[in-house]
Amino acid sequence: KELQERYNFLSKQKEDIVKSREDIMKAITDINRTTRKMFSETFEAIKQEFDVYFKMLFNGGKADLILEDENDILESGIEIVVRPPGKTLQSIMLLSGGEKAMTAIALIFAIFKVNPSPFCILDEIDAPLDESNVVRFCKVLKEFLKLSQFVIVTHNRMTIQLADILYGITMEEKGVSKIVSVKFNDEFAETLTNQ
Amino acid sequence: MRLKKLEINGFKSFLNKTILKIEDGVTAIVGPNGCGKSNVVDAIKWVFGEQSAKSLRSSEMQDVIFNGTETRDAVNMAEVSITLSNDDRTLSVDYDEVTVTRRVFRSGESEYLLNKTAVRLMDIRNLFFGTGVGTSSYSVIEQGKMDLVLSSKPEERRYIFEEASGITAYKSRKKEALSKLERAQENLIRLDDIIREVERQLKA
Repeated sequence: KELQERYNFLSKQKEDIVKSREDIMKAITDINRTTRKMFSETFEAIKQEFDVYFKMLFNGGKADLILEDENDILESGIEIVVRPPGKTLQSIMLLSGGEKAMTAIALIFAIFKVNPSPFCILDEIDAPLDESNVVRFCKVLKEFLKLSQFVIVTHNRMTIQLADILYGITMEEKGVSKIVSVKFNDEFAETLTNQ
Repeated sequence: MRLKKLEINGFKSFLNKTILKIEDGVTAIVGPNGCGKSNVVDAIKWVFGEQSAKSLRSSEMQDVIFNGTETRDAVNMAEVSITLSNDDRTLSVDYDEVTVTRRVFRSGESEYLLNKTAVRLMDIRNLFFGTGVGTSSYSVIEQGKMDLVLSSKPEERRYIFEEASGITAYKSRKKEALSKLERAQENLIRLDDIIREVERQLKA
């Protein structure tokens, strides 16, 4: 009799586990469905904006994002394919350093457009760009100023001119950083014209 | 939500208390190489709870404390505070201004403060969750992130898209569910064995 009771108890426990296993599997299916939807919607939006900003930054051309495995978008890799103006369609690995940087910037702007954060810190991302590229970079950046605050670390004169506040950091004493100048936009414009 | 002020004290190359006011629009940081410009960026990442010393270009977290020079002694604490306006209540606390402070001591202890009250890292994380601000977001774009975008491995590139679509939180929930599933599976197998044994005894 004791054995029978034990058997009933164990069967009941088994039932519970089977039930909870079903619940977990259902939850996983739900998560998969939600993430797949979120990911594909965001991906499509970024894809469109990427082409827009690529055209702006390169003054033409075409850019696309491709899922390597459309059937498994939750694990699939993402390929970037671009065509700079006057060139053929190619993988980003074949681009020059400056073109690569501009492509990355186009993609970052695209992502930012789709899902903006209230502020953005850019650490010398304009470093590999030549002068005409920096001009276009600044033009695109200006569009985002309404949307977000930007803190930009840069060496580039063009980019500096966008600044509302400018901080100069030096090491007067070896190993100790110091802020040496704070210039606000109007004042700064004045210093530039006076020179 | 807007950034208003960054205070750096004893963090990396910033020995003395340094205050940067941040305005709307563009705040530019300039200066020669190696003077500590990127340390300002690291300070911002750090105060928002960055846990990876490597991503702060250090080998250990205590390395972010000013380490002394030929003429200056090392200090015992690094502190960074960031002040944000919260008029619009983007952050779910009832203050118009929110100051987040992080400290680390040479002994390895660290502290987080929210408007001068001690809190846990998790509280800071939760506060900024879903605002696009935080360690795993693209609100900080540095050279390394550009490399990630242009990585030769299409799988690595996914990462940035996953962040953008906000599925990162779901992914960890899925991982949790999967490990629960595995445990349930194991329990089931063990239970089956026992049941079979009891059945055998019943028949006997």
